[in-house]
Amino acid sequence: MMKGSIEILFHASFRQITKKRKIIEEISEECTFERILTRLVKKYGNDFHNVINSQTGKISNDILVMLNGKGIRDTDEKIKDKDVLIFSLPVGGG
Amino acid sequence: MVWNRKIAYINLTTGKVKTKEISKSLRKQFLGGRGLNMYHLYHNLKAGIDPLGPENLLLIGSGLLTGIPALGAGRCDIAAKSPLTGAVGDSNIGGFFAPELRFAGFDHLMITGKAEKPSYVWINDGEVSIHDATHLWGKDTFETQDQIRSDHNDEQIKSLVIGKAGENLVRYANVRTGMKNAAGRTGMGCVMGSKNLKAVATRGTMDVEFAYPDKLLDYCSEMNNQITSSRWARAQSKWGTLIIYSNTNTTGLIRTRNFQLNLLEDGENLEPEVMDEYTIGMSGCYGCSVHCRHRYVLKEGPYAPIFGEGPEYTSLGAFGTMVDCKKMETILIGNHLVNKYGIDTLEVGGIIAWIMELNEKGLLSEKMTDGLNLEWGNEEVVFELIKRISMREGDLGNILADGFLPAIAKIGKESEYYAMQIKGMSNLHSDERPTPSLALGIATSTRGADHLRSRPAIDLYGLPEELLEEIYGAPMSSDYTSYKGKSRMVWWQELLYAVTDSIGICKFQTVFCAVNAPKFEEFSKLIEYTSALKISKPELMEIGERIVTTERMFNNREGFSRKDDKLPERFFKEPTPLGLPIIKGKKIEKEKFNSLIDEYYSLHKWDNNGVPSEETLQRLGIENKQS
Amino acid sequence: MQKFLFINPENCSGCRICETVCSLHHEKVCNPTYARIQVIKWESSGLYIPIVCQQCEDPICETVCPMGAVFKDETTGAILIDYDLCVGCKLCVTHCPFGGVMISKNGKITKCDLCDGDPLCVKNCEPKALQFIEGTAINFHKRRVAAQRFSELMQKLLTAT
Repeated sequence: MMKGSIEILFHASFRQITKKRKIIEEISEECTFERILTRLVKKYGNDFHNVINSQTGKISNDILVMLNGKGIRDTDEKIKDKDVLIFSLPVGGG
Repeated sequence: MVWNRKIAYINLTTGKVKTKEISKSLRKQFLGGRGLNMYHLYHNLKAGIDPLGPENLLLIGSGLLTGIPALGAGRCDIAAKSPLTGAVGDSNIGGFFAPELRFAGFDHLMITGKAEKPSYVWINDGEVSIHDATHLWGKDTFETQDQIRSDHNDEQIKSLVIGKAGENLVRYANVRTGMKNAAGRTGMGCVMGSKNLKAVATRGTMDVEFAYPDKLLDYCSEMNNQITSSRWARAQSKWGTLIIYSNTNTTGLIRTRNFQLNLLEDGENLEPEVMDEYTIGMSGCYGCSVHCRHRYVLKEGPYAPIFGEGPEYTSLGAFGTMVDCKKMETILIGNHLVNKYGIDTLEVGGIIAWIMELNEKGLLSEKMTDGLNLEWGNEEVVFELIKRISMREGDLGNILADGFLPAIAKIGKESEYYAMQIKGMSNLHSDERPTPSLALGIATSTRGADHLRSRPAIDLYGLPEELLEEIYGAPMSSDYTSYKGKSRMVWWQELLYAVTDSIGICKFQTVFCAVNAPKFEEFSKLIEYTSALKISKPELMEIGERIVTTERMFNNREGFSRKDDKLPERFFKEPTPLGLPIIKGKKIEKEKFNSLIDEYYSLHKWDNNGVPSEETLQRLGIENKQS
Repeated sequence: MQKFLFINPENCSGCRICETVCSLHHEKVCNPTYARIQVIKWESSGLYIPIVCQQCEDPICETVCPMGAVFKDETTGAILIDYDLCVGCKLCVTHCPFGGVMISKNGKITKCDLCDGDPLCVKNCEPKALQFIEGTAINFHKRRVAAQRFSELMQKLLTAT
């Protein structure tokens, strides 16, 4: 089985919740965003649960989750070794 | 009604003032603010005039919605032919000036001529007069405002003022009001300086009558709730635009060392949270429930004590990433200095970063450096250059004060490649190489490289494509590195912002960052409740087209065309060296980019040289004025 | 329980929404000059202080009124003016220590009426510089702020030892 780790960065309100800028998470196999999110809910509480819009089942439009720099919306997005996941808010552009 | 707000024609040469009603039919075509300013600019200026000559116009306009208790409806639009670019000069400023002007009975000012000696215009409850400003000349932007208040013994006066940079005709001097607000871009402060106009001050106690006050009140509350319940606004309320840095400096969408790198290494001292240490509270512009401005105090160091407001993300780039300075204090001091001198933070930062890169590349003769150590990260030299440029001190300060194009001519052709400018105006410290939509926006902006003309910031968020189609009205890719459909995105945002600038509200409270923020539909309602005018969404979009096409006609008449809607060559030649996988190694592909421009022109119904067709002019009711 | 308009100037962002909604609601026009509430600003030091009638328990305006025109609305707690009795002598304006009573556009005496118990300025104040809350909540709030200062001090002491 493949082992690996990913970097998770927290910005804005997520940084306030976790009191961390960055964590490293071990992943033991190819996993999905949903699995990572479940772990974060366990660690840091329900604010991470609210990342998901309960009506659509997708990442809420007023939250920005980036996987290797790309904004993602689906919870079944695949996460693999050396990926960088960013939890942030849609503020950008200049 | 809002209709009784007038326009004042102020001739500084003769000292004569005339006031007139603003025609309702013009209102319907251009709304107010930027729209009406553009109409006046296009119709009242002869092609080819010297922007610093007395014949240039200085246009000041509040918006159609100015004064409502929502959406930051205190914005004022200032326009002229730009002394920096020779194209449309136009800059939008927040704060409290525009509502005060409206309370004083005016929506628009058209200032022409040149005063014999330093002067300021005073507008008070329907009366306009020109006063001697000899005692204000030489004062900084803070002192000037204080002095005017004290002269009139009224602390509620709001003024648009220039500092030393405007007096010294620095081509990118800005116009300022309050502690923070600036009409930064295109050198409107330089135009004021050229007219010997130190300030425009106003105080008003007249009623502004809105058509349906109760409906308006309810709807404004609804708008405010909609805005403040969004996560975006809550973040902006706490960290201001500095919060953008967390995103751009982890992904690689930020320029560092001019344009050499796209991430700032060891840049954690510029993170927005660092600002907490200096912040005593947040402040808002008129009618804004977001309050994105920090009120900060710097207690220690050679420049202390400083009380200031800001800084914006722009200043964080100007005195931070672009020049490789890594301390928040540098940003705070730089921000204070540019505010004091009245000079555009973005332009001065861009030009300092350029000169530092030229120095590194050996393209600057020793004599040219004027004895300055132009190494990256030298904050003292950044402060010194802000001062020298504002004061036009020394050869280097004087050359840089004229802006990119004249400076390139003096320093040498080779320097042009490193100048991150479009139409003579510096670009923000964002790196648009991975994002074709953002790149298209800066290339086609009517006022030169700029992110506030058409930037579709929501392209960066990977939103569902169905949602993008719903907003923009056609299918497009949700991948920000893609070219698909991005011309439509830029076109749509350009129309939205043209209308936004004409109704006088804050762009941040429209579809800039947040998809669920107000857009044309909400504007329609607000316009009806304030003015009883019924303007539908398609009609508002057409007004947006009319404004942008008028600007285009103005620029074309000044000799601009497709050849000027371009990106700096580095966008095509140098791939991004750093960043997350989707961002690293990206550059703009020339052919695809050219097709984007083609598509963008055809959406505007301009020909492939960017010239509006006769049919388009007729449809929009724009006269084809060639002189 | 009685609610009070509680001002917390530290939170004020200076946006003047309170002034504008007040004038739109009461005067049906947008004109902060005639708003019952006003934000007084010291711009160059960043101080913004909303000033409005404090709806005093023992109102000076009531004491000085020669006509007995000032009365308290027992449901909302607002101190109001009975215009049938008011002769417009302006003694209340002169004596109010807060500038809470004012002269309106038509020369009449006017003041904050708490919008019949649901003040619009409060509703629209996002930073919560203005709150309409019960006395007990105000007391607790003030104590909470004081306790916060204590706790910060104690933590400093703890980490120092």
